[in-house]
Amino acid sequence: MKFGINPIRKLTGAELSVRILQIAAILPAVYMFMVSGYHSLVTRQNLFSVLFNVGICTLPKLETLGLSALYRLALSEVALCFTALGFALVFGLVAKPLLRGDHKRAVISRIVFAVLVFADLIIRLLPLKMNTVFGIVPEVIGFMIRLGCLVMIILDLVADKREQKKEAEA
Amino acid sequence: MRETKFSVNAVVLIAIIFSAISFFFTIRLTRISDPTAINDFHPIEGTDRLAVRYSTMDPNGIYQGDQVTGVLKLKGTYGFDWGAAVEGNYIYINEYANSELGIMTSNLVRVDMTTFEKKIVARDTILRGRCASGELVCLRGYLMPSSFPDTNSLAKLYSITSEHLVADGESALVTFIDPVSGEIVYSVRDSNALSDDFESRYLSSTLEEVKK
Repeated sequence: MKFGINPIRKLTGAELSVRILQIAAILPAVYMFMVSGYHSLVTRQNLFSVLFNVGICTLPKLETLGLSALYRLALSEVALCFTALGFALVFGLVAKPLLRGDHKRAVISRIVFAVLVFADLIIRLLPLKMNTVFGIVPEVIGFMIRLGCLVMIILDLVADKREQKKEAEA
Repeated sequence: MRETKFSVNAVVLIAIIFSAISFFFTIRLTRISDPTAINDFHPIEGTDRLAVRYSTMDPNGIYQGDQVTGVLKLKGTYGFDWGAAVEGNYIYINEYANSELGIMTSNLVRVDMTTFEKKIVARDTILRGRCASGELVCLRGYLMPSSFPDTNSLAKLYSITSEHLVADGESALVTFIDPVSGEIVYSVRDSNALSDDFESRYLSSTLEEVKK
């Protein structure tokens, strides 16, 4: 892994952040799949419910809110699962060309991405119901992961700035 | 970390395909092969031969008439178990809804007995009966115990966008509704709302006694 913009054959911080978000969307799907097979899993806390909680708490809060609203409207876990996974897939496909390729576009994309993650972190600090339902531990883990994502995106931009400076000096 | 050809996008795509196949087997096929046959018919007291029907052969709903020749008046899964209250030309009754994996929710609805139009009086609410002074006694912000709301992560996700829902399986808002106007007249948060003495604490008392 290397921080910066467009390093050849290396994963950047922003790209890793996108992948973390995609993996977070897969975790709730695993729980839903397990519950559909073994309904008694809902009667107690288990590894899959912990993964669900961490996955949901890592997703952007506005997405969580949207998923909850969809769940209330459709009363369908299947719709919920496919929406979360579909969103993760579309996000991954859209983010890939934005974060790599044209340098200016990649820098702007990273700045926009960083602002969105920062806004999400601020929302997480508000005393709202959606920030407390899953308990303190998953929420703190989700916050730390998102904070890590923000730091990685900023490190990308900082590394790029240094590289540009070096090139200008040379 | 080297960039590989097998990306996370591919993993997500595989997860979507795998989920589609697995949900088909675990949800659709299980329902098709479910051998349980139900045909329950529960008359609602104080009405002109109206009854709630649960059936695997006919649509669930409110029927008028007897069990054999009854006519469907309003489709839906309605509850008679914790009381359907009749007031003038209206029936106050619980309307249940199931999610695909088994979360059960309830809304308190008011049904006009002439036009059979339905109006939701309160969401995520269960009608438990009437108190001694005649008000409807309901539990607001409540998920059915069969949903295991305190351990079920899906129930927690469901509760996020609800104003009153508390997914701890214990506390609820005990609400008194005036049956004539359909307005909430008194609410009290009770951490032991689901205990066995609910009847003696709320249903056997008048509203004034509860307020004390």
